[in-house]
Amino acid sequence: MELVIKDYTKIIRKVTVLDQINLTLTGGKIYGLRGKNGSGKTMLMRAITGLIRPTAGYVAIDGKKIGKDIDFPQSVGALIENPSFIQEYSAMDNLKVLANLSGGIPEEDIRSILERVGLNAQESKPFGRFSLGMKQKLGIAAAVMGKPQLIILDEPINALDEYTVERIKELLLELRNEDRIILVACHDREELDYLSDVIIHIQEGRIVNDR
Amino acid sequence: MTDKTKIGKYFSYDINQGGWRELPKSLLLIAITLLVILQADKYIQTLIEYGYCEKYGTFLDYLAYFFQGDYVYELSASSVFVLPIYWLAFHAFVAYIVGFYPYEDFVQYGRMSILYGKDRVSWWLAKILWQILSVAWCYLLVYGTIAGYIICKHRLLSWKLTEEIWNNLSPELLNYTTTDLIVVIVILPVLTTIAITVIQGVVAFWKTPVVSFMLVNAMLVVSVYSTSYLWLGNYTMWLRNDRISPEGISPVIAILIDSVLIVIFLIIGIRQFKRVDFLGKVDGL
Amino acid sequence: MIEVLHFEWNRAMRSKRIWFVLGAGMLCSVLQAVHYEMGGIVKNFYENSDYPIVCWLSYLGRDIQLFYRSLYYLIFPIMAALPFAASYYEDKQSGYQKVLFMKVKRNAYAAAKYLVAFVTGGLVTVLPLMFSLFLHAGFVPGYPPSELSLQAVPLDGQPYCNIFYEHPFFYAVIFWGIDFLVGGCIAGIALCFSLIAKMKYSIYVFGFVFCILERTILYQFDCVNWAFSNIAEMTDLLLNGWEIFMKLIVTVIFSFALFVGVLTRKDVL
Repeated sequence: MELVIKDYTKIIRKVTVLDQINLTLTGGKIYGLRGKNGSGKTMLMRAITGLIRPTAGYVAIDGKKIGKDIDFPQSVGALIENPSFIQEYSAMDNLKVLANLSGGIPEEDIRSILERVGLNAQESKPFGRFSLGMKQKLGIAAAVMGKPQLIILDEPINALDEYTVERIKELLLELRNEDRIILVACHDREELDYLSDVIIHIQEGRIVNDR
Repeated sequence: MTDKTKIGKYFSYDINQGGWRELPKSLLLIAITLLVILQADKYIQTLIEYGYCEKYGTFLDYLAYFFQGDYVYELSASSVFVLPIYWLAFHAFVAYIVGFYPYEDFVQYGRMSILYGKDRVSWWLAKILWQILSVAWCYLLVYGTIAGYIICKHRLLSWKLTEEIWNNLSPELLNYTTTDLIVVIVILPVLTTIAITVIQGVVAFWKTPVVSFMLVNAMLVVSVYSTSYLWLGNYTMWLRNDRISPEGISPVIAILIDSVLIVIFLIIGIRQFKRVDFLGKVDGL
Repeated sequence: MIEVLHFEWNRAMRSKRIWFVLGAGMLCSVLQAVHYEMGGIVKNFYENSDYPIVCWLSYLGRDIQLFYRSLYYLIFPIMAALPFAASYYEDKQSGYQKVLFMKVKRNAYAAAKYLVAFVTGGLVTVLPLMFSLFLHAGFVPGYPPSELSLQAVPLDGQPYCNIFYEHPFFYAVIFWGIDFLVGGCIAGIALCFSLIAKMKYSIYVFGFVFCILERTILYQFDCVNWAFSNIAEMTDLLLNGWEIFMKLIVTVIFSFALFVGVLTRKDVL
């Protein structure tokens, strides 16, 4: 899989939030996104997932432009900002709804991913009563279930305990080895350096350095 | 996955989320219907007492009473503008029940469901389908409540007008054939309400659901004031029909306009939704 | 308490919603005045009536011929709730409530919030009416109204009708005062609803649904005089001044006690 971002610019209410972004992401790597608060990390993630439309430029996945040829990347899992799920449903039920929409992921896989992130698949507690950490875990589970080709994670290790952080890191490295594109934004320098094959610096909506 | 399958999946999600969760609001409509029926009964009771009528109304009598609206308003030095409150309450409540769910889902869960379904247009079309079904549900509730009341009171569940009642209310209605009655009392109000909710849904994404709700109510009020094809509320009042009043609305033209508006706003909605940005929680005004 | 009140008031004034509602109300007043003049209604009265229409009856709050008054009083509950009724909900959702409760007493916070919602709800519903009367005074005569002209409301038996015929401006002020209280009550009721609401829009629309339902139910039982919307419009009203104020004061006391009482005891999760 290859993801190309070409001259991507987004202006919202006369404010340029993304400015001439040019990037190429290929499978088999974890890309770390680093930048100050308000630098445009989340906006870039929204752009890649097709949640926003560009003012100029485009995002193309395997040659198909988002917004023109396709609405969204065909195989994507994303955790962007606060995880948003149906309040009254349990973790399992929430993932089943999403799995059904995305074309059928076996229940066994859903169960296994929940266990992997440290949630109990049998638990009937509704999402509305989850702690912040549990919500985050469910968000990660939703992003990686079905092993999508493109995985976008915005601050995934926020509010997680050390043990879960280690498990998530293991999971991401496994997925990376399966030739997926993984884009992670994180404020923890050490964790990001450990995980990422490539670090992308973003500042005021512009890529300043990617190495 | 085909588009139809995706629309079906989104739609079944909407039935679950928007249907069952919005169900308690339907009680408002049942309450309004019962109030109208009781009002109609009061009037018929008076006719019976004064010897104008021998029995209570049929199913069609109550239905016609419910959807009558008001006569064409003519401005003059002595005219008094009065809103037909039951008619307005029904349409305002339908707008309330049906008009907010698409935007609510978009703000709460839409980001996830659209991303995982990977199809904006299917999501939007499923919402429109949901709105159409919900409007039909609202009308079915009214019919069902009237039918239930009739059955409980052991009256005639028939599709025939009671001449004695309508001779005193609106004798012009007695000139309608059965087909005419189906058109002006059933088809036209349902189609018009669907058109109004589709427009409401599009405006809700363009502005906010509260603004679109206020605009719908403003349109309803202006409809009572001005008998014109411009104001859709007129189509839902059979008293504004061109057979009742020369300045009235032709049902054929009204059906055409409704259909055209539904198609136009469907297209506008699709185009608009293909470009909408998911910027996080934007909750009303 | 004063500091919290000051803080909440500033918040309300800085919010764009209050200006949106005021703008919508003023627009309604202007459109009604323009339609009244351009529609030849004033001229019609001069030509077809023995007594000219007067501004006390032509402005937005009293006009019974055009649709603007009906429209205004229909969306009156939404207008009253929009400025500040959802502020508690916003504080809860954003987590700001937790920050505030560390700094101020809960009952002071609740009381200040209710007061500001009440006052802003009343203001936004009354200011357009005042504006409308002053607009109309520019082109509709301000003669003392005459009962014999048969165009006049209020009629005998309606509240303050004597004052209307002798001091019509004072009547207008009383009318605005009652509308202010009704607007404030509805904003207070919407604020109470925000304690359990799940979406912001439902708070704004709750007052509307409540008023319509109340009116239709009371209409059925021939008690429509007691409905909020009828009290606000005061056209067919057959309550006396004391009954009006009793309903409003009871509503204020009840909703205030409910809001403050629940908020001071509610867990902050």
